[in-house]
Amino acid sequence: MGEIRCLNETGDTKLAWDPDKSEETDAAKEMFKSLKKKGYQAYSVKKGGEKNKPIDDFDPDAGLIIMVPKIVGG
Amino acid sequence: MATCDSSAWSYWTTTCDSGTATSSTAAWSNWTISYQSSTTTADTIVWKKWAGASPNTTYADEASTTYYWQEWTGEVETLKETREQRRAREAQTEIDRIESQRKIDEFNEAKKNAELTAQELLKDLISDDEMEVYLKTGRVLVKGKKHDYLLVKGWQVDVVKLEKGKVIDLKTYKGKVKGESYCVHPVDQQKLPETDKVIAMKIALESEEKSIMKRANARGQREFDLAVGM
Repeated sequence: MGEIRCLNETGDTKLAWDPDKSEETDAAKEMFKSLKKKGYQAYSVKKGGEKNKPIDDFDPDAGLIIMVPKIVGG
Repeated sequence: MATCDSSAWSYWTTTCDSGTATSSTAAWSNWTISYQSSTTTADTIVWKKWAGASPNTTYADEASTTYYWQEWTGEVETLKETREQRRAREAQTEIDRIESQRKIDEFNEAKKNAELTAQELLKDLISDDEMEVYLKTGRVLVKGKKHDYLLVKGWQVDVVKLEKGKVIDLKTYKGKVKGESYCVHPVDQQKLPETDKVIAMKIALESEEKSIMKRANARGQREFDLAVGM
């Protein structure tokens, strides 16, 4: 199973998908693309943090993807 | 030559009062009511009417329309309200107050729930010990490739760069720690719950430290006593 968590004013919005189900995967890919267009940065995230990495394309096998509003300097 | 009767300024300042000015033309006296005890008629007692002093007296012409000052300040509006109108106005005020409070409560509830949701996500990303420290102190230790970072929850998350390996974990470290504080945060951060800002900075620093720190602005050294709050 994969899951997108998009950080926002509600805490986050979730969308889970089963990589074996194309409809679910397509919906997750759509959400990913839409958020990227809005300027969000996507990170493939593992507990512990050592293997976290930014991703530009949707990966159905990424597991947990966290979408973060663009990081800027103050 | 102007006579007292025709000298407007004299009338105004009443210097002529005791002379030949008639009471009806002594404008200043009428205005200040100093003249009223003699021949001024009630309808010329301008100042009293202006200042609203007359409601408690018995001047003949005390129609509400002559209470200039009260009308000016809106008091007459209230006085003219019927009992039913007043009740309706007060009821509407109460309805508005309740509605306004409901919106505030709704907003605060949504904000509280958003923060709890964010904490649930953070719990999935860090150990139980780290979460315990976070809930007590609002602090998370992030291990980057080049440096470690202390993140401190707040309206704007404080990102403090630490010497690599200086702090192994926040639960057991008992001393003080010093580091450069940086201003770097998610865009539109005011929309996010505080813990989301911590999550955003943790993931970003773990994933692309160099790129993130290029955007960060240093804002001076800060020192933290890591034992405080634990």
